[in-house]
Amino acid sequence: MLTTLVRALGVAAGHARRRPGLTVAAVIASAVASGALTYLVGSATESSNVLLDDFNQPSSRSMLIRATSTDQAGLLDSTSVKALVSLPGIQTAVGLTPVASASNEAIVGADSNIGFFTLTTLSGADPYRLVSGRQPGPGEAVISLAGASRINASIPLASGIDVEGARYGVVGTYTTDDNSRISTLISASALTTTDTAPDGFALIALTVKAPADLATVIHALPVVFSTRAPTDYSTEYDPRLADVQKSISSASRRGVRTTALGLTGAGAAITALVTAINALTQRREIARRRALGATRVLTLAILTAETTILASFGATLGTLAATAALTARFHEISPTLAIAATVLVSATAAIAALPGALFGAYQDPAKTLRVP
Amino acid sequence: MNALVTFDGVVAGYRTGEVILNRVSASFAEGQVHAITGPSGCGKSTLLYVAGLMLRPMAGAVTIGGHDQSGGNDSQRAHTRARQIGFVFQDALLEPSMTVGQNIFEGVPFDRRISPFRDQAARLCERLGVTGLVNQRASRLSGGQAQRVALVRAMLKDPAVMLADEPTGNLDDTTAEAVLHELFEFGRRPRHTTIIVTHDTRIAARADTTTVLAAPC
Repeated sequence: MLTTLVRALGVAAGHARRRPGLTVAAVIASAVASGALTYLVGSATESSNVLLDDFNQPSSRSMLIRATSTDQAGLLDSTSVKALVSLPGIQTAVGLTPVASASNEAIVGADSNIGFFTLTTLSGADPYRLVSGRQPGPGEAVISLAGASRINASIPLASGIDVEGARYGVVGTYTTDDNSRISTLISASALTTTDTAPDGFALIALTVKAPADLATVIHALPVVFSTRAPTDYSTEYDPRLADVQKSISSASRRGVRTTALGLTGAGAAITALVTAINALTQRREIARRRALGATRVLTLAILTAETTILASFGATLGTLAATAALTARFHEISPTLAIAATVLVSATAAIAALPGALFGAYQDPAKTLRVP
Repeated sequence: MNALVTFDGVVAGYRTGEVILNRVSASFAEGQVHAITGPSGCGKSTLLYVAGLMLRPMAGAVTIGGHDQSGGNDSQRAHTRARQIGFVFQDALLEPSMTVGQNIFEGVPFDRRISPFRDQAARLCERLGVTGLVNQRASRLSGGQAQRVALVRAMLKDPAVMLADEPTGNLDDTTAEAVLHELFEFGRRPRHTTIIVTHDTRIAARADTTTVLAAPC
C-alpha cells in the first residue's frame, strides 16, 4: 500500500513537472485563493481583535458611566447620543438606552471607532439640552481641566472663563434638580462638543447653586469619571460591548465569508478545469498505465494527487505571502488561520479535481489505444 | 502442451450492440508463440485486449492459467494484468518526456518496489542493446530503439502472457528481427506464451500456431 502510494505520488509529481503550463495555472489559482482567503479572514479577525482591544481600554470612547444609585436612572436621550456621535474622534455610536422614554440611536457610516454609551446623567429624568458654545453666565461652574482630562476632553480655553484663578472651558447649560450628592450642589449642567481639540470627546459644564460649592463639585468630578472606587458613580465596561463587537464582527465576517467563498470557488473551478484538461490530454498515457496494470482507483488517485499536490504547493505559497503581509500590518497573526486556509484550499482542490479524475479513470483504455 | 490462455465463445465489442468478436473460441498453449492474423477490422487487436483483460467480453469465457478472468472487478483484473500480462504495442507507447529508465520501470507493478527489478532491467537492457539509452529522454529515441525499450518494459516483470500488437509494424528489418527474436524466445519458455497480432505472413509462418480471424466479423 505504501509502495503504491509512493509510486503514485511519484507519477503525479512527474506529470506536474512535464506540464508546466497547467502546473503554473493550478499553482497560481491555489496561491491566489489561499492567499486572499488568509489575508481577508486574517485582516478581518485582527481588525476585530484590535477593535475589541480598543473597547477594553479605559477610554471615554468606550466608557460606560452608570449610576450606582437607583435614583440616577435617567439616560441620555437621542439628541444627546447624536451629539456624542458628532464628537471628534467618534465616527459611529450606538446608544443603548434601556428605558422606554429614551430612544436608541445608531449612526452608521464608519467601522472602526465604535462608541458605546449608556450615560446615566446627572440630570435625573430630564433630557439634556445642548447649546453649543454658550458662554456661562455669572455663578455658573464648569468642569476643571483635571476632570476634563480624565475623560479625554479638550476644553476650549479660549472661550472659557476664569474661576478663582483657573481657566475653565464653557460649553452649554442644563438644568436639573435631582442628582444625588453632587447634584444637590448643581443647578445646571451641559454636555457638548468642542471644535478646537480633535482628540477631545465631551465637555461637561456644570452650574453650581452656590459659588462656595464649586470646589466640592470640581473635586468630585474626577471621581465620577474615574475607575477608582466611586461612591456615587462608577465607570465600567459594559459586557454588552462584547455583543456589539460580535455583531459588528459578524457583519464584517459575513462579507469576508462571501468573498472568501467566491475566491475558494474560483480556485476550485480552475483546479477542476486543470484536472479535466489533464485527463483529456493524458488519455493515451492513462490507457498505457492501465495496460501496465493500474487500477481505476489508482488512476483516480494519481490524477487527484497531481492536482492536490499543485494546489497544496500553491496554497502554501499564497498563505505564506498573506501571512507576511498580515504580520507587517498587525505584527502577529494566528498560525491556525494560515494552516486552516492551506488545508481548506487544498481539500477544495482535491474535491474539485474529482470529476476530471473520474473521467480519466473511467475512460476505456482499450478504446483509447485502439485508435492511435 | 497446457493451454495458458483460452477463449470460449467470446463475444466482444467496444459499445453496446457492437460485436467485433463473435463467439470466438481459441486456445493458446504455454511454451509457444501464437500468431493472430486476418484482414483489417476483423478484431485482431480486440482479441488481444480481451486476452489482456482490458476489454471485458459481453459473453463467453476467457481463462488465463486455468482461471476464469471473464468476471472479477476492475481491481482484480488490473492485478492479474499487472502480474501476468505484458503488452507490446505497434507504437512503443513510451512517455516521451520521461527518460528511458523511467519508462522501463513503469512496467513494475504499482504495488511493488522498483529496486528489486533493477538487476533484471539492466540484464534486459544489455540484451536488447539499450543500456546506453537509459538516461535519455524517450522523445529522442528512434522507432526501433523505442520498441526495444517497450519490450524491456513488458518483459521486466516476467509475465506469463506476452501480447504484441503489430510489434514490428514500424521497424526496419534488422530491428524487427531483434524484437521478434526476443518475443519468440520469451514465448517458448515453459509457463509462458506470446500472442502476436500481425499482418506479416512471415511472422505468422514462424509462429507455432496461427489463428486467422475471418472478415467481416
